[in-house]
Amino acid sequence: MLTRELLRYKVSGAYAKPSFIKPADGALLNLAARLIAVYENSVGSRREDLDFELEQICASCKDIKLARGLCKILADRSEFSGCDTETDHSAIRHEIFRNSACLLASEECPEDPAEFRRRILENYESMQESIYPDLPENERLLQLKKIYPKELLERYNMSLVQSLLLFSNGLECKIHAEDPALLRRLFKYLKFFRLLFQAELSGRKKEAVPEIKLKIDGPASILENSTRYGLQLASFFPAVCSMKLWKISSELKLRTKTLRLSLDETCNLSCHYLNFGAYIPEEFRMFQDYFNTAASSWQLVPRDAFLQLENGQLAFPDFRFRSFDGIEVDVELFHQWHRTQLEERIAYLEKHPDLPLILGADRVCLKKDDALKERFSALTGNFLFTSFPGVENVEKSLNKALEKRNFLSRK
Amino acid sequence: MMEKAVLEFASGTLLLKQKTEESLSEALSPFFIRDTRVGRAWRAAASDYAPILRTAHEHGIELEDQARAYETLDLTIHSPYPPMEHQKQAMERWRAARARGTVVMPTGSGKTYFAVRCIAAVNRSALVVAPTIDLMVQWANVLEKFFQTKIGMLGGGSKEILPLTVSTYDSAVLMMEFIGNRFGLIVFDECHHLPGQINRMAASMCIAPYRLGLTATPEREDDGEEVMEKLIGPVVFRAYIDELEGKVLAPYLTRRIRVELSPEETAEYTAARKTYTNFIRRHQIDFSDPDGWSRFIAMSARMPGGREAFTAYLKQRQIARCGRAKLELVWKLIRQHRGERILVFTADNDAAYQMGEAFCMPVLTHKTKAGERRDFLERFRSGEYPVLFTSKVLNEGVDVPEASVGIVVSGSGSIREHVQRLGRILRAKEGKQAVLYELVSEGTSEMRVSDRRRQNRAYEQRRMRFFHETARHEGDGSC
Repeated sequence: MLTRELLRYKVSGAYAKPSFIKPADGALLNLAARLIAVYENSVGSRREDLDFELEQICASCKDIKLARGLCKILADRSEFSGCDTETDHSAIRHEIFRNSACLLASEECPEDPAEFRRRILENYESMQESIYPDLPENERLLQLKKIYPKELLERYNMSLVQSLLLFSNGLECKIHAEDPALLRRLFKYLKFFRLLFQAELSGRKKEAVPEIKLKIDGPASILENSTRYGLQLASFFPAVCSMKLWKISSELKLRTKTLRLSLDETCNLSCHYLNFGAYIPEEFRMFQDYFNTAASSWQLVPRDAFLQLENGQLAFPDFRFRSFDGIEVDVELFHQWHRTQLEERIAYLEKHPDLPLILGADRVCLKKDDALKERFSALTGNFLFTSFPGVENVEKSLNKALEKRNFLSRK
Repeated sequence: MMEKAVLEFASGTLLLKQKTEESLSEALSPFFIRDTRVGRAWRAAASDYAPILRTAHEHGIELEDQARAYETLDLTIHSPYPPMEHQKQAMERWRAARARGTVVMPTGSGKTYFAVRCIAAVNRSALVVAPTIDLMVQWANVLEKFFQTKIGMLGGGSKEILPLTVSTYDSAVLMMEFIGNRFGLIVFDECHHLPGQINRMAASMCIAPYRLGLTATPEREDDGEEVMEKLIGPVVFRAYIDELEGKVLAPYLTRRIRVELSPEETAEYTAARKTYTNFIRRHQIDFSDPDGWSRFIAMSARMPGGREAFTAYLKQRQIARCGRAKLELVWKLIRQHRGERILVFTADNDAAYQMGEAFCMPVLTHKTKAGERRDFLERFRSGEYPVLFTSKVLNEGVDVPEASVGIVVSGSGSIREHVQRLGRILRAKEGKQAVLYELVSEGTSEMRVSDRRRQNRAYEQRRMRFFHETARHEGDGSC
């Protein structure tokens, strides 16, 4: 991300407008390529020399701040070594300081500081220029994590928004829920960055793609209007950009000013987080194929991206099954790292046993917690599995649930 | 009346969960806000844990407290020594304030030992938060010495949480949402750092019912004092440098020395200053405006003459802060005080390294690696290195009781910084007479900066004698 002094934005009324660049602009691509080349050709060089060379390029640019911003992104992707590791500079310094202490205490201590220095360093050829050759500016570049010019410019645009969001006290976000895989990942990122949200559904017209309105902030945000979750919001933001249609709005506290940031998918920001495609894991694909050929009383059908629960909470079932009587039941799987979410979901189903949702939990998830295991098993149809559930196990559980639980109809 | 509700610690806040849909008791409602994001629950600041429990108790509201995860300990101070009078008074007042409050004592007056006694008195798991890694390590050593137990550390590469733990502010902020319920007492050393937007989270996300703030300089120019009062408690005790001087603290002198620039330096300074001030006047840049500095940076990057103006700004600052005349004077003072332990303070790292290089003496800045940093401090304390140059890292807290001479070559206009620098040399020692020199380049903006930073009782109560320091450096400015 960029530091405050490298931020480029314009103020238009009550809005902060990030000064985006065009990643396809020829001149900018050229600048990005030059900066990357400097880094790539400077492996082994001193940090100060590298900085000097970069600063020469920046100084020749019309927009120094932009060039420095690009350098900052490259600096964040680089790795530096310690300094010359063969010489123990601190041991040599220790000798020098001991000698200087002795000379200072003696009657021979010269009045002229230059003479003092000369006498101390006369036996230390390597330290004539500096007795601190191992300061950070003397560290050497080891490598730059590979990046292409266009990618650097795209990262710059993303960094502009992220760096503004550091001053945000919350994010209002509208997304189109057309791709369940993307949506699931988006909510995983929300959890990963320990953010909370309130969700509201709209656009439920026939044929319309549902739109989810999310108000995202942190646990303490309702107590205090502060920017304390700015870093988490900024880190989460690229995940929003992976959606096909999105819109965000946020209040920023920039020094004494309060400004609004309002953006949507037309900004063409690219999410650099990996695995954001609609990838279906192999075990899911195998399960789907096998279930549809092997199961006798149920069929796998396309599911909604999520289930809306009370208080704006959402659940993301993994599968939806339809019985031959036309009753649809969702199945949500919990793996070993989802214990807390499982506990929450059990509590929810205890209050809403008619919700057509059954749970599958990895045995590890309930290990050493007999009380939770008991509550889990008390909900008919819930089942345990190891690593991934088998088709027969799931079909049996669905039948049991249908027999004992009085599910609400989906329609 | 509400059925027994559960109070939980959740990500640096408190969650009150009820089993029924009943509304929140009126007595508790000032603390809580309904949080619809997490089901049937109300949320409160973790720092309100003690008042919430007290209110619930007073109103007969039953709460199942699942928030508390701190322990009652069995602490004994090993090799204790009797508290000094001001420490006794401070302890009485802090206890009378329900063990929540700030104690203001000058550097060297025994704040650390006072805190050790508070930790023993409260006898609960305790976290000490300090602004730097050096200070954190220093606290760990002191606590280990007095309590003869292993001390946990958060920061500087360590991440071990024990019933007695020390942390930097940065690490405490990062970790508090996970560990904020594990301490019954939290001590904020140099607590004037707490009110910053980020640092304050270390206090607000922690449930510790007992809180102690320690500082020599609580004054802030923003609303920070109110924040400290809210998150730690009121100032319960205050002792001033001049009250403790000669008893608890070493007697001291402060001397401001005006340094005349050489004719060449004066010419260079004047030319650079003119280029710089012309630019800021032409573009109507006002440094009293909070955005003034950013505007100057932005303008100097894009306006004609901007780059020259910025270079000129750096030049005139460098001459005023660390010109040749100052360099020579520092050398004279070092020679004059041979046999004593001397700390030399500069405003920036470059000046510290410039002088350290010139005299072949150790320089301690944030760039100094941890091992060498410890080494420098130990050797300075032992007298092996009689002089230590530093920019800001030794401004606060770090214990160097042997230092008796301070030379402020340059600094900011901050009163706090100046008082803290004075504090470094005040720790009492038999026969010690401390002296703080302040070098000010005459005819430069440093004169105004110096006036600003001296507006404190530690200086004002003394008769200041300004005198010229010429090349001959005659006269004595003692008070």
